[in-house]
Order: sequence, then C-alpha cells, then structure tokens
Amino acid sequence: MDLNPALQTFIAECQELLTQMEESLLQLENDSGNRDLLDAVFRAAHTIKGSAGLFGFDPIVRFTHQVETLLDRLRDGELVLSSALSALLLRCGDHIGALILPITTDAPLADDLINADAALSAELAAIGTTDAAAGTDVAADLWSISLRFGPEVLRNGMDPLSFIRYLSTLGELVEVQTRYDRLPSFTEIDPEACYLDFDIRLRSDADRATIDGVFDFVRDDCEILIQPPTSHTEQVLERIAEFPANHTLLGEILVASTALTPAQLDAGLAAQQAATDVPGSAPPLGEILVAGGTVAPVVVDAALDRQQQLRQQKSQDNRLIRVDADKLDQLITLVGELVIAGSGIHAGAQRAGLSDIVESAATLARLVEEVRDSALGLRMVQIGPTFQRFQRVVRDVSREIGKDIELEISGGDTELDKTVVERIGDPLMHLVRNAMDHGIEPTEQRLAAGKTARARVGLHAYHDSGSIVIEVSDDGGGLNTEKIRLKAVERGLLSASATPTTQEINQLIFEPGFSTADAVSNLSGRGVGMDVVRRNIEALRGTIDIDSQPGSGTTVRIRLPLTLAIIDGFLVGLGAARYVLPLDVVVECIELSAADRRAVTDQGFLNIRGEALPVLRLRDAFDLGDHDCRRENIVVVRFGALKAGLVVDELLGELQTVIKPLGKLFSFLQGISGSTILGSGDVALILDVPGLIKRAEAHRSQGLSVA
Amino acid sequence: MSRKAGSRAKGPTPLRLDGDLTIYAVSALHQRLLAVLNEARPVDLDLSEVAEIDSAGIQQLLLFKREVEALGHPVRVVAHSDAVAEVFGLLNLTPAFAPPANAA
Repeated sequence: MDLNPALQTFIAECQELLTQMEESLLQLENDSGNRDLLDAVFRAAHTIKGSAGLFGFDPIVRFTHQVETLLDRLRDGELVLSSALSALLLRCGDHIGALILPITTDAPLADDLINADAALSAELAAIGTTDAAAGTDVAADLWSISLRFGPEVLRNGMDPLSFIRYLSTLGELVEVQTRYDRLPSFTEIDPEACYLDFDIRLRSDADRATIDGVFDFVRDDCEILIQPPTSHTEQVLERIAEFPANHTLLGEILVASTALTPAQLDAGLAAQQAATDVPGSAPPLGEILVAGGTVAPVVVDAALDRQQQLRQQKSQDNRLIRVDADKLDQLITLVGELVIAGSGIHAGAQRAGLSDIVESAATLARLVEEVRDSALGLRMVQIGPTFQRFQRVVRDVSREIGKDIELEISGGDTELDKTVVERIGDPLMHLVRNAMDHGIEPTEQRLAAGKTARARVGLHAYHDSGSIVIEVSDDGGGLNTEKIRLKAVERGLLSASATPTTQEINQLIFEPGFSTADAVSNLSGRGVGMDVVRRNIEALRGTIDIDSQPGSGTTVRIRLPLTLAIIDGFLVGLGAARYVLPLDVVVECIELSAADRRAVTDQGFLNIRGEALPVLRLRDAFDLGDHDCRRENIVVVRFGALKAGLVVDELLGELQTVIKPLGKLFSFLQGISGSTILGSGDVALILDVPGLIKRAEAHRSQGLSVA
Repeated sequence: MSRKAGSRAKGPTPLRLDGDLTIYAVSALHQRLLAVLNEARPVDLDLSEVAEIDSAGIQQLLLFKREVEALGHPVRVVAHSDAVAEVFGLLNLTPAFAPPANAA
C-alpha cells in the first residue's frame, strides 16, 4: 500500500470524525435537545465532505452531502431527531466509513457498497418530504435591493433606469417600488438632479459580487443597500463554516463567503480606521458592518464563531503532531539500550571505586530514567475512546437481542500503552458481548428477581500496583457454578471428587474445553471463546480472572502491565545466575532462617505474621540442584489478590531493565517471561511472577495433601 | 414638441408630449409642465408620441402628477408609446399612471 501522507491523514481524520459523529449521535439519543451535539455531528459530516472534495472522492462527497442536508434540516428545527432518524444517521456514518475504506486499496466501489449507497440515499431523500414543501417563505429566495440615488447621478451621465434594466437581466424583478417622496416642489426642483429611490426585490441565482458589481459606477453617488435572500444567507453561513484555516481575519472570511465584497470590506475598514482616530474607541469591524446594514448580524456571528474555531484549531494543530509509530518504537528501543549502558557505567565505576564517576553515573541514571518515562509517556494513550466505541455496540446489540441495557463507563482517562489499547479491543468486545448475551437475564426474569428492567454493563479502568485493571461487569444473573462444575467434570477438567472453591470453578470457563457451542447451550452463563480471550490477554503479559455473585452479577477483571517494553526490576541471584522480578510485584524481602527453611521444605508454606504464605524454592523450580550457601532469602511477591514467597540465594537490588522477549524456541519455558541484558553484559531471565505464584499455590496444596 | 391645450372651460386639458423626455430636454419639459400646472386644471396626458424617456423625464411626470393632484385635479395618461410602457412596466408605475378603465 503506497498512500501518500496527505491521504493517510485524510483517512485517519475521517475515521476520527466518524467516531466523534457516532459518539455525539449516541449522546443525542439521551439528550435530544442538545444543540452543541447536533452541531458537532453536522461539523463532522461537513468536514468529511470538504476533505473528500479536496481529494476528489466524489462518492463520499455526494453521499455525505445528503447526510449533511438532513442534518441541516435537523438544525433548522424542520425535523426532529427521532430514534429512527438517529439509527439512520448511525448507519449513514457506517456507510461513510465503508466508502472511505476502498480508498486504501484504490479499488473501485464494490457492488454491494453501491447498492447500500443507493438504498441509504433513497431513505435520506424520503425523510420528511411530505412536510418539506409547506411553509417555505416565498420571500426567502429574493434579494432585497434598496437604492437611493444621489442628485448628481443624472448629470454624470448615469440613468437609474439602466441599472434596473440591467438587474432585470440577472434574474426576475419581482417587485420594484419607485419612491419619489424626496422630490421637492415644482418650483424648487432642479430638473437635472435625481431624487428617486427604488426598493427592488430580485429573484436571482447570481452571487453577491455580481449583483453588487451592477452598481460599480454609481457607488460614489448612491446609497446602496443589498440584502441577500435568506437562502443566500444560508449559503453564506455554509461557506463560512467550511472556510479553510489559512486566513483568520474576519473580513477575509466574510469576503470569501461572498457575504461582503472587497469594496464593502474596504469601506468598512476605512470606517473603522476613521473611528480609530478617537483613541480607544475603535469599534470591531463586525459592528461597523452590521450597523451599516452591509451584512446581516447572523452572518457576522457565524463568521466570528468560525474565526474563533479556526484559531482554536490552529493552536490545536500546532499542539498535536502525528508521529510514525515505528519512530517511537525506535526511540524507546534506544532509550532501553541507554538504560542498560547507564547501569553498565554505574556498575563499572563502582567496581573501580571511582566515587566521582559513581556520582555522575547516578545523575545520568536519574536523567535516563526521566527520558525513559517521557519516552514511554509518548506511547501512552487514554483508554476512553476504546471504551466509547462500546456505546454503539451495546446500543446495537441490546436492540438486537431485545434487552434494555445501558453501558456505564468510568476511568476513561486511564492511560496505557498504545499497543495494549489496540490489542485489548477484541477481547473486550468478546467480554462485553458475552455479558450482554449470557450475563444479563431477559427483562421478565429481571423484573421477577426484583431488579430494574434496565440492565447495566460496566467498563471500568484504573491503576493498581503497577498494572492497569480493566473490569467488564454486569448486573445479570451471575455464573451457574454447579453447571460449570458438572461440565468441567464431564470434560475431564476436574475430578468428580475434587472440592474446588467457587472462585476456582469460575476460572474454569477460561479453559479451552469450555469454548464449544455445546457448552454455551448447556450453560446459563458464558463461555464462548473465553480461552481465546485469556490467550489474548496473556499475550499482553496480563491476567484475567472472574468474580461472580449468583443473582447479582459478574465482573471480569483484566490486569495488564503498564508498558510492554521497560520495567523497574528487582535483581536476585541463584548461584551464578541472575533473575529479574518486576519491582511492582515485590512486597518485601525476608531472610530465611534455618527453622523456616525446614518448614518450607516440609509444608511448602511459611507462617508470616500469622498468615500462611505459599513458598516456592526457585532452586527446586528451576532444577538448579542444591547449592551449599550460607543463607537464603525470601522475596514476597504479590499479584492481584495472591501472594507467595520465592526463595532465592542473593538479593541484588533494584535496576531498570529492558524486556527482550524470548524466542519461539523457549515458548514452552515455565516461570520465565523474558530476558534482559545487565549492565555487566550478562543475560538475566525475567521471572513470570503470576505463573510462579500459581506453582507455589499448587505446591502448597500438594504439601497439604501429603501432610 | 407642441402643445395643443384646449381652451374649453370644462374637461381636462389635453397635454400631448412627444420626442425625447430625457435629461437633455428636461429643462424645456419642466417649463412646459410648469405652465400647465399653473392652469390648475385636470390634465389628460398623451404620451403616445414619446420616443424615449429616462429617469429625469419620469421624475418630471411624477412631480407634475403629484403637484396637479395636490391642487385637487386628476392627471390621466390617456395613451402611451411602447417606450413609455416599457419604463412604466419596469418601474412598476403603470398603476399610478394607468388610464381609467373606460378611457382606453
């Protein structure tokens, strides 16, 4: 795909605008009178049309124009936004999106797209045609021209009649009123002076400049007041709305939108200039123009709005730049290398005992840390827009399945890595749909259970101990634990005699065995493709668990790392090997006494301040054999609600480290999630804490059953 | 430009204008109209021989009509040429100068 950058920007912009349009439409469904929202929808459609026009994408321009026309009628209050209309507009938005897609492949429009276009166009055209004809003011499309000729006109060889004759060639003179009340008495009159006034109503398609141009030769001798027809005012307003951003002077906007001729602008500016001679009293140009009757106040207002908007846009354009994601990735990789090199210098200086270099290295390390944080910050985006997408999903699906469901969103400003945000969409979609399909009970059942008819699905995001937590919750019936247990036994995932906790049973729905259609029909709860969801989350180094209260709902909790690239680590040693634990998960470090060591070996857990802590000896876990070391240490780690102790030989302190993923060859390795290179050049393995905690738990249960 | 003012005591004064009623001849027209105005009688305007009329001419006619009527006498246009009809039509003055329905 070889798109030029402008086109890419266009596509990205259109997609953003469509998202905005959709959001505003959805909000309008609950807040139908909100003018700002309607304006936002209109602006989005309008901008898409304008940009598409620049690139010559006629199908988009043609279709969007129809949408815009409908929106315009909504804005004029001619139509009311009904839910049917809102649904139509949503579909139109989708269709515009579909029209934009073929641009990327440069393919001609597919037949089904053309058909959809025709069908939607017909629907749009049919809207409100019955009541459209009525109530249009006949005067609406008439120019109103008022001429007050000065006395010298005739003597200067000009005949007012010829101007009116010429006007009649520009359109239809609907009405001419000749007023002669300025004529003095017969004896006083100067027969060669002109005293006539005319009020003219003209129906014409000519633009303002043409009509104004008629009077070019008498402008100095004549007072001319030209008021464009209402429809022209609308055109002017439209032109103002699409005025490009390169000029932001009020006069320029007005002239470009044909509300004003350059000559009128000059006159207005001259008047302003004249007024400026009195210090501090220069009235704004808009006021002068309105006072002079040159421009309708509504036009000036629109132009001022647009001016404001353009200025904001300009400053916004200057604040935001689009950066190639690859460049960012490269920067972050480099910063990662810098982190490693920095630790190398620090370690080297310490070994050589160069205290001033150590100090410099520490400063360097701090700076590098800041650079790292801001580099990572560049990749961080808010999850809000991703959440907002679900408004539409929930709305559409709830209609489809006939349930009344609202989506509740919180924590949309929580930031996480762009890659994560991009890849979390699909799993979330799965979970939300599941919650709606299976989690929420039918309305009758809800009412019978004493719940509100309107069900709730929630999307919440928040930070928790160095991870991002995303919750998908519903207030439905909860999981049917017993059915899941039976199914699990049937599938051989659970022995019939086992007595797992409810929590453990619920986790079973993430097992691959549950992801068959058969399981869905037998389960009142969920189960479609949950193993896929879990795989996706785990690929992001995240975890997923589920909380279910029978009768009151289910919450699926996704825990994701803040970033994929760099972590603050805690270095531990086992013999000569080095391992890194993510610092976020480390709770405390305890020296392992001889008595404790026995307890660990015998029972697999340790009593710490009255709490039974499952403990795993990493030497055993990694099969390193026994090493006769003087003493061992326990690192207490926590992940989510689970805690465990890991027994290591040495505690080596904190470090920043760049995660290098393990190759495919090592994908079967358990307890290891990646590798990193230390300042010394040695390789250290990064421990997979969630996996190890699970093993510690399993180890403990084994220990308990043996004991 | 000739004037055939009737001297009948009753009935309107017929006033026949011809040629060009334009800025170039407007002073003469003004004088003629002033003379008729001073008679203070109803006037029947015959414009059938007017070849050309411009704003200056229109102005005089409008003024004349206004002043005569101010004295309580009607001014009727009993005939007009195509040139006059065109200008009256354009300026929407036909109703003001319309010949009465019975005097075609």
